Amino acid sequence: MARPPKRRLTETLALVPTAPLRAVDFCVDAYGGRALRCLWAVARQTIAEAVRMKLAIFFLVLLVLTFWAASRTEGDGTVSGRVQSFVTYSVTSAGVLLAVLSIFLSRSLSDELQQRQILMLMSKPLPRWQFLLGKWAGIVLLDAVLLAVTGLGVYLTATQYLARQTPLNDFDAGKLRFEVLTARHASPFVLPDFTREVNTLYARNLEEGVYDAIEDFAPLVEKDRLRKYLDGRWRNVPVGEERYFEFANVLCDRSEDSAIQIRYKAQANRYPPDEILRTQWIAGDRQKNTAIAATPRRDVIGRYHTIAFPADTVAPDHTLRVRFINVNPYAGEPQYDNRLFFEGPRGVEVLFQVGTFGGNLVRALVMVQCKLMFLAAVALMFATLFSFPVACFCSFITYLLAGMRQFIEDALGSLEAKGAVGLARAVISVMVDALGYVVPNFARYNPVELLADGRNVTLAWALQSVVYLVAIGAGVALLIACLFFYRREVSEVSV
Amino acid sequence: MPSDDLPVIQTAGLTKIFKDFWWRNRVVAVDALNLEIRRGEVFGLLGPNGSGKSTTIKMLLGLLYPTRGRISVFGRAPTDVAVKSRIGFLPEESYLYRFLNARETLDYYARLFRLSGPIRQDRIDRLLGMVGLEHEAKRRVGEYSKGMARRIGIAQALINDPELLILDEPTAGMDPIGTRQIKDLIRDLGKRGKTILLSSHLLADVEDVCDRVTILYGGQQRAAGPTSELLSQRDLTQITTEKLPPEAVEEVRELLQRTAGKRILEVSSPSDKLETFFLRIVAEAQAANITTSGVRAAGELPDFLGGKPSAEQVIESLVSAARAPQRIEAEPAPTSKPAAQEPARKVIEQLTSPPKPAATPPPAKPAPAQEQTPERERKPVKADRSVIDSLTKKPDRPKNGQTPETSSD
Repeated sequence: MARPPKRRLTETLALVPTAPLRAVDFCVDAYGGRALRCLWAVARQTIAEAVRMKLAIFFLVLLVLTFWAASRTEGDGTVSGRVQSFVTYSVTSAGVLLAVLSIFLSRSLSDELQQRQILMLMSKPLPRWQFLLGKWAGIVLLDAVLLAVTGLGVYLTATQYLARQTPLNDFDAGKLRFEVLTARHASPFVLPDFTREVNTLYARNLEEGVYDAIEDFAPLVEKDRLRKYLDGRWRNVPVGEERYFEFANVLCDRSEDSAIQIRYKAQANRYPPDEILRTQWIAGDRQKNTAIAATPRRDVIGRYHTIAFPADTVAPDHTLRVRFINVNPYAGEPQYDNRLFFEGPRGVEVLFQVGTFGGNLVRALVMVQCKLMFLAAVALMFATLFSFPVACFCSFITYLLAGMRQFIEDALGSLEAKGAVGLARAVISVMVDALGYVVPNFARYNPVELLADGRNVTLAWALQSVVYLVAIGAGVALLIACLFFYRREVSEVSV
Repeated sequence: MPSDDLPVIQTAGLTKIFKDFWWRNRVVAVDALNLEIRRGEVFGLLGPNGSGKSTTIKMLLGLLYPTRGRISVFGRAPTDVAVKSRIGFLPEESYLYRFLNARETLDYYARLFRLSGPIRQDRIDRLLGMVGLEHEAKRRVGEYSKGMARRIGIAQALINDPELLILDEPTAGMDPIGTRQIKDLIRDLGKRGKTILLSSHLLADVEDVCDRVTILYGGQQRAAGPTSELLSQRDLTQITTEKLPPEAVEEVRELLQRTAGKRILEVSSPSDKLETFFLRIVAEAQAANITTSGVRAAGELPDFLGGKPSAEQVIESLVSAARAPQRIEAEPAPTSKPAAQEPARKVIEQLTSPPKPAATPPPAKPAPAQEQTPERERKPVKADRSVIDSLTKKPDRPKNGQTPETSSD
């Protein structure tokens, strides 16, 4: 068969993408131990297969198309909105695409079993665990490379292309800089200590004989109820009143040109006709000699709003005091009589920059990679047991269950709460428990929302996903895979 | 290392029963088999299809687990990974990766033996030369013919310089030249002290190369013993002479009747075997330099396979030992005596008319054109030998070593 002469050029070109492989080759050859040499041999074979079978290239093309589509989204028309939706879409879809790829790459093992290359492999001095681990490493490395390419693409598109579009207005520009392309830590306000008030109230009630008629009276429970009552009353701000929200450990850069943000969501007992709240926020603490900054606000009820304050309103001891006044500051606009309240621990939070968008993106991608590592291990586990179609099906079911676990738990949990009784209740609770043991909850390790919102994806969280998804999840899956594989007679073909 | 008198492979009451989905016994593939293969032996495992040859081999390699009975390979369990670094295995089909080329395929397997980079490259070059595929080394294995894939299979089985070579139907799918080469290879390896287990249903193959054979049927051993003993017909004598006229035959008949009281059972003039004829035709085509995309003439056995290491090899192993200390354990020590190299070399020496200096490594490049003499002039006395000898010689190629661009397939 005649060979086209241009082969020489393609061979030369092929040296470029394979350079990292060669570099690892060199290192493993020079410094690798016995196990590492085998692991790397299997891993590079897996990568070579994915590349040669054009699977990886197909996914790369798909990734680029997704990027292109995501970068075309308009969002709410603002540049900050466009960046947010681009980051959300591109990282999410890259995660899904690579999850599918990870599952499909386990085909390599199924094929070797089916087409019997395994006979040659297992007659070499290659321990079975090293073979499995090598396969996994190959898939995981390929994922990592593709994810790194994704990360670079997201970063460059977001910061160098989208962020350079002309912003709609100053608000848009500020939002992009301080609320999207950043990594902010959010910390809730410190709840006032109600112990003295609770004790006073409790003593008075006791004195007045309020509790005399109650059977099984538990003082601790009653004190807790009183605390909640006082807390609720404190969170309610009637018209004309004010509240001081105290924050501790605001470890931000306190220089003049940097900023902190207060994020809050106010509810009202009665809505004004235009559904707009007119209030005032003042940051700073006179006693601690900080700068003082005041902002009048017109806010839509029941939505999160963010106000930026200069960072020098934070005291040197990293505390921050914010005063909220339920009085209309706008002359000529009517004062509406209503009571406002801030619900839950995140009702009012302070946000301050602790890192960069780049660092945040890296941590978020590490978490995505953890999921891929788990899926790759699961797919290999099934591949040691079943033929490719069955293994693939099982892996996808696992992926779906992991992705939907939160939803399923909520749904089944509410069924349970809504008075399912007897057998039904038992079955539901067993199902929820079993699900908890079989698949991890992917929703708990989803950093995309925070990333797009410019909120810090903490290193601790990323490490947590490493522990739960990789060390435990993938570890157990690989262990089971080894068990199956060692018991298995490789020369028998599974169908 | 185990002592020499310990059998390389030993099985006792080896039984394999395949079960069905409901765990019921379905097929008794191997039934109470006792085998003993000694060091340096070429052992033939014979039997019709489905007689349990492959199953036995797979159990010897730990690819299948025996239902009953015991196996020891080099005194260890077949599932012991360390044992496998001393074994080379060619399965009944060459299960290769379609997406790799020949060089990459061999490289992958060499890596699994933890051979270091330079040694890998050297062995791959030599083995590709040996199986005659060095010019097709960059083609994807998926494009190969069955016989070519088989050759790669054989090369990968030799990459670790194994002490024990297990070949399951090695000549399946091979052309007669390949078959002949494989047989020569097995013989040469045997002479170098390798232990070889050969499974086949092609009786001629086994007859030519095996010291001992076992015949299986229905998973049971039906016959076993040294090949020559099993095949010799003790009550017959064969005499081969030059062409005799009928009257001479008649005289011989009378003479035999008179002196020994025996009669002649058959008088015939032997025809050329088709194999011999075929080999001669191909040799002529190769001599005429007709291009092919298939296998070229195969080279000789690389000298890393057993035998006494050459001075070059010793230096090389010392240098690479200094570079990568752990490599040494991956390579089994040379096992056979210096003389073992000679037979293979003899063949080559017959071919290259001006003898080469003794220290020259095996010819990696085709012999220069002017050194070649016409085929027929050098034909030795034994017709059979001459054909295979001429095949082993490399045909003329363009001097730059480029592959011819045309195809004859």
